Amino acid sequence: MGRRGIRFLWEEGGRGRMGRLRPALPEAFLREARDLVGERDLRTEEAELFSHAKDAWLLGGVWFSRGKEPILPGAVAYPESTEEVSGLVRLCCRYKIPLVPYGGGTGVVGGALPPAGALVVDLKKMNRLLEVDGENLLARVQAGMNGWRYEEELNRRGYTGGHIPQSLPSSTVGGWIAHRAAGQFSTKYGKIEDLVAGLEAVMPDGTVVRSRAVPRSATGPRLEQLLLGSEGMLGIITEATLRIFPFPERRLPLSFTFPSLEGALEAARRILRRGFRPAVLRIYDGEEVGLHFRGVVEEGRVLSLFLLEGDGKQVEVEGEVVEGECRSAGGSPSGEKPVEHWLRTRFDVHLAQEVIRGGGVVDTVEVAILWSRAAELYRKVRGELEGLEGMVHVSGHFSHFYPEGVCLYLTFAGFPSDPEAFYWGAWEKVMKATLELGGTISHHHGVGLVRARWMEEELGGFLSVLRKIKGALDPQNLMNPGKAGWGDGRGGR
Amino acid sequence: MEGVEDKLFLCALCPNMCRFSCPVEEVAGTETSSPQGKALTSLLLLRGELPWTEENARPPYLCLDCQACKLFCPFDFDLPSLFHPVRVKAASKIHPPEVHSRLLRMREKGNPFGEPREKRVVGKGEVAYLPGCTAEMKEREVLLSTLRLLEGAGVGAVLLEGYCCGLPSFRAGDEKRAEELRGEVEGVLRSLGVGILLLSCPGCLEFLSGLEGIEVFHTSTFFLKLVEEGKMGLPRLSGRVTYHDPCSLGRKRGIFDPPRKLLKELGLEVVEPLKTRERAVCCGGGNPLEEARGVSRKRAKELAETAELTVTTCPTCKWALGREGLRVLDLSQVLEGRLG
Repeated sequence: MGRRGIRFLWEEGGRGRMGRLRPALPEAFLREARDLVGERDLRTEEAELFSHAKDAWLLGGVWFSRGKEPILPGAVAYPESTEEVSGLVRLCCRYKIPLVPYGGGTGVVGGALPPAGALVVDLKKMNRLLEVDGENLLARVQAGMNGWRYEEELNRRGYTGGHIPQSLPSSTVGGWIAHRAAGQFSTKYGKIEDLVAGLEAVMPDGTVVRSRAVPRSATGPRLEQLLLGSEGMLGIITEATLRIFPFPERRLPLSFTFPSLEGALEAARRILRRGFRPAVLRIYDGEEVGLHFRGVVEEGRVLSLFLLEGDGKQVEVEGEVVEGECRSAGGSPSGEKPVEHWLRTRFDVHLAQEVIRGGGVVDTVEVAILWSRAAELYRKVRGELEGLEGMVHVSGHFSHFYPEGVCLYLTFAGFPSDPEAFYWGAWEKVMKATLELGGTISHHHGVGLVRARWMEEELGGFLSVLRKIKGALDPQNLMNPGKAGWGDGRGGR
Repeated sequence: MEGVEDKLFLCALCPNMCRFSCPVEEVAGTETSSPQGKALTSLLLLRGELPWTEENARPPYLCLDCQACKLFCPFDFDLPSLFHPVRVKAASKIHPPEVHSRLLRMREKGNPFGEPREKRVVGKGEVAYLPGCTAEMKEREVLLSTLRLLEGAGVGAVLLEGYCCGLPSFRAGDEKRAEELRGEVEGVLRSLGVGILLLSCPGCLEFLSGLEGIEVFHTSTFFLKLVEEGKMGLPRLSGRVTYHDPCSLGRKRGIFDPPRKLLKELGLEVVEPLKTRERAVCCGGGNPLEEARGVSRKRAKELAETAELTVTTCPTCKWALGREGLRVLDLSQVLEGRLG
């Protein structure tokens, strides 16, 4: 894990000796950083460092539960303006200090874990909604704004952002963009790359760049697209202009159960093919129905859950099409209740923590695949995961639909004799099967530390292009070094 | 303690699914002010894995005990009760300077303002009225209005002055002092032999409920009862007001409607603020930390944007929001016919 000379991971250690894993930053650097952001916004106390030594990567949780110590950053800065971010980046360049941007810490792939002694730049004090432009359906917002608060502010004004990831209560706008996120309503509203109309960012040399918010442009390659999914390695996003939508006039919840996964997938494929875009469409296998819809949906059936929303007339027609296609693919209507249940419980994430507390290992893996291989991939990975020693639960659902394919989201949990081997073994199975069947190894969680080892296989020649771009923009490799398989690993301490 | 650590562990592993609801996190913007950040820090302090310093001991106190996060907790945890054991340790070890002042004031003067006062028992009656520190020392109009309303309704009341329920000590982690103060209140009630305790402060209500053989009322529900029994007449008023739900009355005890009902009975139009009832934002007034002032400012602004006058049912809310320039009255004052 990581690359030459970069230590990220948690280490065996005695309780209460975290200072051992905390390389000190030069006093002169700290003094200059304090001058820049102010005494209150440059933090070096252990509580603040520990809070930034982790994200929501579940393997980190497993390590924590087993008494391992995290590698601590050297300091945490809370800039309150783009100028301060720029100043911090320039400062890190001068002192050769690695730097990690931090939002809500809800990433699940270790993307925000700092290398030892890094400066963490936490954007949460840049949390204002600067402008809502109803005429042009745009919102200008600072990168550190919390997702739920952003959506609430828009709702209050009669709009929705259309981006509702499960992490909404905790994640930030900047985090969505840096990790190329997709929300639960993305089939209608689009993923974050469809929603970003303009960006402001601080580049690895401290330069501030801004793109215009325009409907579209043909003035060469759109370089701000480089920052989408850059995971903090090509710059720090400080502000975004996002597309917004009138708050839906009507909502129609529908659900259907199918005897088989193939029937449910076929109905979804036809709906998308005909040009319809349900805001929410989720297909749960029997195991997930048993886990999440017990007493709400008949056990053993596959569930297709729809939430249609938007203009009243549009929703009416869409409802007819959805019903027609589901019935003709063998589906039986199961009413509004499953959708209402999902809406009530969609942010309930306690199961993973319970498994870890009980000494188990758990994770989720999302990939994307063409329709023609979707069911095959699901069956292949399920079979392979179930064969792993200690595995107690494997399940999957499909969410985020496209005319050409779909996202498959898997959950696995087990109580193995060797947690680490089990964890990476499970990931290996899913990644390999996805690559063999022509899919992509991540639909929306990103790469971080987890997927780095499979990037070469997925990207081929594009990986060296990415590395060249990284090398050109960040020659000292200070921006979130060692992540995603395309930092060159020369940085770190 | 093991149960507490276990819950803190689960909270520390959660991706902060209640973060958006925390009023301190919203104004402080730091990771350690988020509910999960506070839980992680508390857990590490309890386990002895973080050095006890003023800075590291700050996060457990960055909770207003408002329970806003409970509505969104995947585990249905009551975080303030999980931070409490850490505060107990911190109170005897090391703690933020603002907490130090609070602890000293409570130990030396028996009130959070650290001002001298005498214990007095005034009057006779079947009801004991404890206004609480804020109504007695900072918002005396609340106390006076309440006494006049009781007199007008023919309710005989004994006024207890100079007594503190102990909650400020408890929340700062000083259980011993909290118990002493609560014991003093209980002692005077037993000596008077009254069966009904009337309180202006929802914090007192939170801390004094459960005294054996004593029925405890908040003034809002008590006055509504008097109105419904025909013992208390109401003036006719007109105008628009907004109502701020105190955490300890609304979210924690489910008393949302009695104050609103009384305001409407008076003839007032009640406009709800953006965040109201279960989602009402804490006033910040009960917490001594600097960050809590930011919460007060933000809530005061939200209420000021809702209506020209805010009514509340907690002297501490009135004091904290008024301190930020908000036009705010206690329900008892409005029941007397005051609107300014």
